[in-house]
Amino acid sequence: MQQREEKQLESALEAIIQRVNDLKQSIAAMIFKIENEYETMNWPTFLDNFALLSGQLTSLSKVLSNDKCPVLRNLTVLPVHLSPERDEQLIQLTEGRVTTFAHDLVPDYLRTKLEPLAENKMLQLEHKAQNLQYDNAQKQITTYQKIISHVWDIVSKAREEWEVESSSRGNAQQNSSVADTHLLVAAVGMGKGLKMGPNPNGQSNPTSGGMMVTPQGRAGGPAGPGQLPSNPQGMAINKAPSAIKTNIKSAAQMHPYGR
Amino acid sequence: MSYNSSVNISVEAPIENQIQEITYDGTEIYQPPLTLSESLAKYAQKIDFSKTTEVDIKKEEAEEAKSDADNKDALQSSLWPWDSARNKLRSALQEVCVLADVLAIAKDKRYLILDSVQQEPLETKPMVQIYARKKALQGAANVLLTGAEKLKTSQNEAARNRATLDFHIELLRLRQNWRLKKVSNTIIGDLSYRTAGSKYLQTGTFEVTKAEDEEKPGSPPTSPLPAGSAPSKPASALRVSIPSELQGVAYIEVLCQKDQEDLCSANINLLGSGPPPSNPDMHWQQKLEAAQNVLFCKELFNQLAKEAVQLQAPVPHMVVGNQIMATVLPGIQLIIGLCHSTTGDKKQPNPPPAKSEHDHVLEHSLHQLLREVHHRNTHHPFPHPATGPLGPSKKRMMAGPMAADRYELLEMTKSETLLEQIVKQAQHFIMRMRTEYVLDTIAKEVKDPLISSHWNTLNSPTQSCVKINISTHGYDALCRTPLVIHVGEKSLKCICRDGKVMNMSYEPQELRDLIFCHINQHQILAVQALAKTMGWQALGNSNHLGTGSVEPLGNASSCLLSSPTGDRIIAVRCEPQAGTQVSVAHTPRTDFFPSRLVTEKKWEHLGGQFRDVRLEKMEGRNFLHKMELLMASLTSNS
Amino acid sequence: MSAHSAPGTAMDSLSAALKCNIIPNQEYLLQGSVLDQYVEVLLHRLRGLCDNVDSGPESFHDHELCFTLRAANTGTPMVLPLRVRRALDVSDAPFQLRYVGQQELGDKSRPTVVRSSIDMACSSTIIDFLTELGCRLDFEYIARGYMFRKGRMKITVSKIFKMGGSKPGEGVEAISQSYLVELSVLAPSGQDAIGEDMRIFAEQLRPLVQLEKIDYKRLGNMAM
Repeated sequence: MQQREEKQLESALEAIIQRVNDLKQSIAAMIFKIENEYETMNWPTFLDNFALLSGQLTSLSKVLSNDKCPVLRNLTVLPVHLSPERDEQLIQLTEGRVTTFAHDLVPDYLRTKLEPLAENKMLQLEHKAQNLQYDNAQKQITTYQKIISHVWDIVSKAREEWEVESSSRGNAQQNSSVADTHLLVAAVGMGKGLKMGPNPNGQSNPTSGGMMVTPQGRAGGPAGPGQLPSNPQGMAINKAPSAIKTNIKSAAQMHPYGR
Repeated sequence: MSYNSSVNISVEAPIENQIQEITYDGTEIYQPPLTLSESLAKYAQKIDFSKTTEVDIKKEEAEEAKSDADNKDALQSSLWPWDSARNKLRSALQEVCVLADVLAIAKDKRYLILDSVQQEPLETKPMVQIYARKKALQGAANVLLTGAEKLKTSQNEAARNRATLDFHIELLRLRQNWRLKKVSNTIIGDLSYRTAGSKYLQTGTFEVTKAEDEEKPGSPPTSPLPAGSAPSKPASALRVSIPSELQGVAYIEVLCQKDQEDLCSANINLLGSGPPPSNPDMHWQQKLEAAQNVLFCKELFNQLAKEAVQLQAPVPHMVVGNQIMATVLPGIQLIIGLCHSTTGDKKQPNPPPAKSEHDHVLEHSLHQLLREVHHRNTHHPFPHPATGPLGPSKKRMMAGPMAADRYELLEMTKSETLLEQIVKQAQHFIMRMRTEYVLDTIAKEVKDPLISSHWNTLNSPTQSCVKINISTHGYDALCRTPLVIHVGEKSLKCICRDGKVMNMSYEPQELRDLIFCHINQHQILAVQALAKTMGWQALGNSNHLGTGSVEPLGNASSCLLSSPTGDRIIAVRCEPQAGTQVSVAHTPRTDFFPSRLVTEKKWEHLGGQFRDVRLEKMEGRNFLHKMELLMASLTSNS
Repeated sequence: MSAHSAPGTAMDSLSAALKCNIIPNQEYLLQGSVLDQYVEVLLHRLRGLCDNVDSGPESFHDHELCFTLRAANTGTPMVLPLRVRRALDVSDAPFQLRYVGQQELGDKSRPTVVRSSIDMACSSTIIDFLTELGCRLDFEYIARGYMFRKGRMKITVSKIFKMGGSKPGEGVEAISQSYLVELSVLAPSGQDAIGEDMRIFAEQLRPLVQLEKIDYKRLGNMAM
C-alpha cells in the first residue's frame, strides 16, 4: 500500500517535473525571442508563443487533475538537510541555479506567499467578496453559473457542428463502389450474371443490387437450349478482319443445325 | 546566473554588475539586476518574514529594478513595446524555475522530501473565484469585441468609399461574361468564336489590367472648369487592351444595286455613313463586344472572299479591296463590303455612295449563316445506338444499310457555300420585289376586274407564295379567278385556276402577260356565270379564238349568249390587249324581206346582223355590270 | 452514278483507306461506376465539362445482344464474339454490328485500355443473318442513360438492365445500384496520344468516379 502510493507519487512527480521543464523552456525561448527579434516580431508570432505557453499550462493542470496523481495537498515540502557546501549534483539538478542548499536559500525557495502583484489582486478580490452579503453572493453565484453554462452549451454545440462539417468534407465520399464497377464491367463485357442458363443460381455472384437470374428464362429463344457460359480462358479471338472471313466461312461449312 | 536552456543567452548588461560567482572554469557569472528572487534573497536574509513591511520592500525592489532598467543602454530601451510583456515573462520564468528546482530537489530526496501531513479541508471562496474569472473573461471578451469592431468599421469604410470601383468586383463581373485565364502575371481573355465552333485563325485575345488613376490634364481639381467638361475619373477599375486590328467598330454592308457602268470605280471605302467613332472611355463590355463583332465580320468577309474566288459562277464574282461583287440577276449586283472604322475617325466627307440602302435583312442573314456553320462544326449528331462512331450524320449512318451508291455519297459531301446561299437569298429578294411591283402596277392599272394579292405570312429566305384573286366588284360571289404564284430564287411558278402549272423566268414581263391573260379569261367566265344567273343561255364559248386578227398577246376568247326567249343573242369577245367587244343580234330579223333567193318568211329566224354595243357609253360601273344591264334590257317579257 | 470511275475501284479505295490508316478500328477505353444517388451530380459535372452545354445531355436507350460464333475445329476451339446493338428510342436508326477484340491493358505507361473495334451499321435483318450463320445468342441486356462528347471522346453514363424474359420494354430489372460510366474514343491505330487526353479528362472527374482500366476477363476468372 505504502509502496504503491510511493510509486504513484514518483510517477506523478516525474510527469509534473517534465511539464514544468517544458514550460520553463518555452518561457525562456520566448524571452529570448523578444529580446533579440523585437524588430521583426509581429503580433501573431507573439500570440503563437503565448498560445504555446497556455497549452503547456493546460497540460500541467491536466496532469495535476489526473486520477493517478495523489492529492498533493497532503504533502508538504520538508527540508531535511542543510549544508553550506557546494554540491555538484545539486548544481546539475538545478541547472546551476542552486549551488548550496543553505539556510539562506530555503526560505526564499520555499515561500508560500504569493508574488506582490498576485497578492495584491487576491487581496482586492477577497476584500470585494467579503463586502458582499451572503444572499447576494448566492444569487450572483447562481446567475454566474447559469450564464456560463449557457455560453458553454452554445459554444459546444457550435463546435460539434463545425466538427461534423469538417469531418464530412474531409472524408472521402464513397461515390462509387468497386464491387459495383466490377459487376457492371463483367456484365457488359462477358455477360456475367446476364446469361440465361439451366442452373444459373450457382453462377451468379451475389453483390449489391439483388439480381436474380431467373431459371428457364428464354425458352424458345433463337439460340436454342443449353447455353453454358464459355470458359474465358480458352478464348482465342482473331483480330484481323480477314480472319473473320475465314471464320465465317468455316462456320458456314458446318451444318447450320449441327451445333 | 545565466539560464542554461538550449540557447545560450548572454546577458547584455554592462559589466558593472556584480559578479556573483566565478565558476571553476573561469566563467564569470553576473547577477542580472532584474532577477527579483536573488535580490530578494539578499534582502530577505535581513528581514524577518513575519513582518508585513516586506511588501514595501518588495515594491522598493521593483522600483529599484525598474530604475536599474532605466539606466540600461539603448538596446534594451528600444524594446519598449515589449517591455512590460518581457518583465512579466521574466517573473513568470523565475517562479517556474523555482518550482522546477524544488521539485527536482524533492525528488532527489537528499535535501527535501515530500512528507504527508494532515491538512484541513480547503475552504472554497466561490465569490472570489467568480470575480477572478469574470475579470479574466471580460478581458478576453474585450479583445475579441474590439477586433470585431475594427473589422466591421473597416468594411463599412470600404463600402462607403466605393467611389473608385473595386478592381476585384469588376474582374468578377468581367469573368461572368468573358473567358479569362491567368498566364504568369497577366490576365488574358479570349473573345473569339473559337469555342463556339469557328475555325478562323485570327486570335482574339485581350489583356486585362488595372486602371491607374488618370492624370488630370494640368488643371487643378478645385478650379471650376469651363463648359462643364469636368475631368472624368476612370469609370471602371480595370482596363482591357484589345489588339489593334480588332479595335473600332465594324459591320458588313450589303447592297443590291443595279448595274453601274463604271464598276471599277465603285466606291471602295464604304464608310460614308459609318458607325459613330468610339469613345476611348467606353465601358469594357462595349469595347469587348465591339471587338468581337469586328472579329466576326472579318471572319465572315474572309470566308465570303475565299468562296468568291473559288466558285465558278456564270458571271465571275469580283473581289476588290474590302468589297465583293456578285451578279445576282442580269443587271443586278450584290455588293458585300466590310466597313471597319477605327477609333478617332470623324465622319467621312463623302456622301453615302450607295443608291440603294444597306440591306439589314441580308446582313442579318449573313450573320446567321456563319453562325450556322459554327454550330454545325460543334454540334455533331450523337450516334444512336450509343456505341456508334461520333461524327457521321444520320444520312451517312443510313448509307450503309440502305446501300447508297457512290453518287449519293458524293452528293452527301457537297454543301452550299455561304456566298451561294446569300446570292440565292438576294435573288429571291429581287424576285419578290419584282413580283410585288408587277402585281401592284397591274392592280393600279386595271380597275375593272379587281386584282387582289395576298402574300403568305410564312415564307423562307428563298421561297415565298402569293395568292391572287381576280374578281369583279360586286360580283365576287359570281365568279372569282384564283391564282397561286410561288416565288423562287430565279423563277416563278404559277398554278392557274384549272390546275395548269406555268413556270416563268425572272423577267417581270412574263408575269404581267400571264396576269393579263388571266384577266381576259376571267371576263369571259364571269360573263358566262352572269348569264346563268340572268337566265340567259350560253350557246358556246371558246378560250382560244382562232378568228379575228392575231393577238399580240395570248389569244382572244369569246362566248355567245342567248336570251331566255331566244330573241336576242349577245356575242362577247375578249382580247387581252384591246379589251372587250360586245355585239348584239336580234332573232328574228327585223329587217327581213323576202327576196328572190330567200323567199319564205321562216328564214327570218336565222338571226340578224350583229351590231356592236358601245360599252363606253353604257351605264354601269364595270364590265359585268354593263353586261347585266344589257342583258336585263334585252330580256323581253313575252 | 458517276461515270468517271469504273466500279472495280471500290476495293482499291478500301485498301487505300486501310493503308492510309484512316479507318477508326481501335477503341481506347476507361471504365468506372457511380452510385445511383450521385448520378445527378455527375451529370451536372459532365454537362459543364463537355461540349455543347446548351443542348443538354443526350439520352439513349439501347438493346444489345451478344452472339458468339463457335468453330469446333480440332485443336483450339475458336470463339468469335459479335455484338448487335439497336436503339430503342430512335426507331429508324440502323442496327450496329460490332466486333471488339481482346483488350490490351499494357503497362502503367498506357493510360487506357486499347482494343480493336470494328463498327458497322446494318439493317434489322442482321439478327436473322447471324442466326443462320450459326451464331448463338450468349446474353443480352438493355442500357439506358446519357451520353456526352468532348472533342473526340465519348462519355456514356448508363444503367444496365437485365431482360425480364419477354420483349424488351417491360419487365427489365437493373443489375446493380450503380451507373456504368465509360469514356471511349474510336480512332485509327497508332494514335496513342489520345490516351493521355483521356487520362487528363478522367482526372477531372476524380473524386466522383474513378475511371480506370479494368480487365473484365480477370474479373470473370476471379469470381468464378
